[in-house]
Amino acid sequence: MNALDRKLLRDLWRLRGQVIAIILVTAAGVAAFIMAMATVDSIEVTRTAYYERYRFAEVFSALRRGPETLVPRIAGIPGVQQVSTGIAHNVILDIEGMEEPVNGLLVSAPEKGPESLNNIHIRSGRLIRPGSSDEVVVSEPFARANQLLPGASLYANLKGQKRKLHVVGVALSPEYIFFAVPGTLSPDDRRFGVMWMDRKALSNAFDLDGAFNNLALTLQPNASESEVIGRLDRMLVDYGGVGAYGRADHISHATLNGEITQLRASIHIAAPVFLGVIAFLLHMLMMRHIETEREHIGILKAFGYGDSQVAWHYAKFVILIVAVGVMIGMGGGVKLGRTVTETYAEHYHFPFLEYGLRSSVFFEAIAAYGMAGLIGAWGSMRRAARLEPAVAMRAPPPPVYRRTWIEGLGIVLLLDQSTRMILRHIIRWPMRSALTIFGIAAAIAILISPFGITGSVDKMIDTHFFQAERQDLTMSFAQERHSSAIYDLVLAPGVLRIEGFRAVLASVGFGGKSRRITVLGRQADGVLTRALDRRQRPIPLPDRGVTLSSSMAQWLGVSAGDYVSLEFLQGRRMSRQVPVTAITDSYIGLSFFTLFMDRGILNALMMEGDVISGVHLKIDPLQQQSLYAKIKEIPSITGVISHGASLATMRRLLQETLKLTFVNGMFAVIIIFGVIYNNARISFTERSNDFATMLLIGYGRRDVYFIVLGELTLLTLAAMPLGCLGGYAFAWMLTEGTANEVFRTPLHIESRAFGIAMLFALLSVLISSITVLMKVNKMDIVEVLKTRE
Amino acid sequence: MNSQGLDENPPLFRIRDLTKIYRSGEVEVQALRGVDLELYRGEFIVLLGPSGSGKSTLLNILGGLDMPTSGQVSFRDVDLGELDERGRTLYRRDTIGYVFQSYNLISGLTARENVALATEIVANPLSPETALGLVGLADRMDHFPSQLSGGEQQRVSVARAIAKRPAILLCDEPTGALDSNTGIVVLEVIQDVSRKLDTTTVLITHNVAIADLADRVVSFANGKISEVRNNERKRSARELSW
Repeated sequence: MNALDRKLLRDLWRLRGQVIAIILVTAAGVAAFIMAMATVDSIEVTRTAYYERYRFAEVFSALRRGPETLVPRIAGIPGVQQVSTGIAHNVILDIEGMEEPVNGLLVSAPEKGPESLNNIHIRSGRLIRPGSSDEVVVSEPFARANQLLPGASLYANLKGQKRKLHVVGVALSPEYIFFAVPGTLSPDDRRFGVMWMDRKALSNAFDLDGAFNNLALTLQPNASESEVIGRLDRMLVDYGGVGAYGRADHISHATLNGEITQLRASIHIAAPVFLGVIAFLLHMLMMRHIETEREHIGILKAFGYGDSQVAWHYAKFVILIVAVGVMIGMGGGVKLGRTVTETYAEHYHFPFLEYGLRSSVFFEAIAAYGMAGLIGAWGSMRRAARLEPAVAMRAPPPPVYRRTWIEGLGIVLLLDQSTRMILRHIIRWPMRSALTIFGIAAAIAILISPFGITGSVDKMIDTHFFQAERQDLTMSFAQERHSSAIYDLVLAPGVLRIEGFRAVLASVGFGGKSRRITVLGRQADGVLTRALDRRQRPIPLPDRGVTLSSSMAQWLGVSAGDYVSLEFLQGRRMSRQVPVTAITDSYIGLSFFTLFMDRGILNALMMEGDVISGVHLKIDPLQQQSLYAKIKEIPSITGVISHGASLATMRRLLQETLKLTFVNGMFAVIIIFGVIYNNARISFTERSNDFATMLLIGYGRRDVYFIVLGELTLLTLAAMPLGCLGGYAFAWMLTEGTANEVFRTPLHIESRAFGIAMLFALLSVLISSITVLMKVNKMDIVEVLKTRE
Repeated sequence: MNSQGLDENPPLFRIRDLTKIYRSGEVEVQALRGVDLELYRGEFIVLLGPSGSGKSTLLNILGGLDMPTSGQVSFRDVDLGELDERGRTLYRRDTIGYVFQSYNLISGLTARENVALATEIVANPLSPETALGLVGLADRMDHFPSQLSGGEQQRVSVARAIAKRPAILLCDEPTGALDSNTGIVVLEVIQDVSRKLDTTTVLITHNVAIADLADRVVSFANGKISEVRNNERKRSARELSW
């Protein structure tokens, strides 16, 4: 090792405090990046492999009843590769020890053989014995939540007949990675489960002998999905088809897509912040370092070192710091990525996990951080290269201070000299002060934004459960019933209020765009479910036309007053033009897929009588138990949603999000600390002379503390409002920016989030200050004053 | 004042058998090896001697910046060795004016404010304006250090040192960084203000010519006083040249 490199290592050691701080920030940034990339890549790779291995279909459709003879015709549609039919039916389950009724989706087990679609992966137990009428394979999440291991049994209400079913296996399916009861916000594994059953047994139970009500297709390469869907829909009209859809509208696939998009977006927002902070920290460190190294640079040049050699010497300084940071970050990122990916895989119930971190991600990290480092150090390297040896060996002239406009205000005259020193130092280096303020602000912003997300989810929960949907239970019927069915339930125990609704599948269209949605007809005088405007005020149901969510309106490009086309996919399949009478504020996929209107008008548009598809109930909690018992006995009910349970599920999900918030919070704390600590140290080195002079004149060390702390506190205070604004902007980007057409959360940040972020900033000031104050304590006045830097 | 009148004047400083040992890495450096000296009010003393002879160490101990290893330094019957950190801070604040070779001005403060930095913490100081007037900088008061020449910066540093009316003014090579003309102006100022304020002045120099300013010249060699000489004819700074 040559002497210059040895000097380099010693310099790094001498500046170790700041060097370590920068290494930590770099490592945190790289780790966060790798972790997120690893997670997203792994999820995508695993999903693709999962879909391929278990032959997840590409087009799906439900219908009332299609004869098996239809299959060759469907297979004949140009572009169709393979057809798979089946039976699927919602049922109410009765599980021992569970008071409330549970929703089940009974699906015919895929046929054995390589050509079957939407295959299942048996996790434990076995497949159903062909011909058995009471065996079921249960989806793993549901099995876990309810401890339904092979050997367990449960009851299902099959068209009025209560049947005991035996669990023989536990399985996973690519079709139900994410699956929630229609009408709920999130999967509730305890109250909703998919179960596979022998097809023959199901067709007997639901009168579908020789027929099917569920269809899945794969497409030939280069086939047009929309053309196939169009032809299929026309073919299925006579069989009660309710509109085919591709993977993009498949709820499980779409939910997973939404999460992946969100993860990717958050990487793109967080990464530049880290890079900016690194560039800034290195800029500060190197500027100061070169300043103190003037004499050395002069000597090196006097000895015959070239400008580029000198610049390279300092470039290596930066490269080493960044390299160590990147290496630690990569190691940590891979480790964290594995843990987080495993958590996600667990959350998504993937049967296997393919850790899919691309090697290019490492190169991206190295390139990005290398660039950030060089950008940060560029100015000082150039300065080192350009210093004339003679100039370099002379002591630097005192930094130029001038009166600034602020002093014109006369405020400065009222201040003591110490405060003046603080102010002038900040104003003297406006760029650096601004960058420091910016750095602290960025860190505060990073700290606030994840809180913003949890705040937003909280807000969404409040809006959905306490403002918009205020019922305790929602029950849906197997088939439409006359609204007088309400009276059958009015007398059920504990029912306080009951409101009927009509739900119809339809295709909504405007200006060439169309989408499969649900039109929800609500009771005109209903109070349990309400549409809300942007300010969360309930909007009365208009007596004509439809209301739709702002995200849907945006997607279609309609505003109030426009006419949209509604093509009902059920009943007489009427096509109607209806006016948009109001646009409601809504946040989530559910309302994206839903249009609201008056039930009477909806039924009139469909040319049907006063029918309902289900009811919303307000119940007396004291009588809940008897009500549940009664519901389990009513054959016409195929779905029950307890809003209390959904709320609890959402809250649990929120808790999980908070864990991620904690990781982000740790990164932000590292940034805040890195920025503040570096600033404190550099400011101290630069002014140790001033401080020694103060001590010499007879000031106490406490007066020096005042200046050190004062300056940092002032910069931090200035950064706070900026950081809060930035945090708001970040959170906005993370919610609005990552919202896709289906998923959107409202931006809502609790004031607590701002408070916590600022508290962390102040805490970092305190900790950084302590290290500097320790330096002040150890400062040898004579030493400092005699050796001019 | 010269040494003839010292009998009725009790010493301001009493230094008895003073030693100072530094530990620099693994090496012990004996900077002072038993120094005895008395300093009187209003006296102008020049400490002469080669580098490492111990004169700066003595100055730092007198200024409350350093502690003796053994022996005694008392100022008006207060033993400096007994003072704690706080006590030494107060001692520096109320008693000592310091002028270093490097001016040690605070670059973020104007000349006036640099002086005010010192006057704000003591009772009954000169006003910064008066102090700067005494060193001939009445018209440069609102300049920042970067706008002043080396000599001017050193005069501000003198003004800062004397503005609090210190009992003792300690100058460590005050002209070391200046050319001779400027140096003489600075010495003139030091001589002039210490006379006007009746301050005891201790000045360190390598420059034998400067010794002519002193009432007494104390020569150092190897950590000891090698010679104490009363100046027969004390000269004014204006008469010097080097």
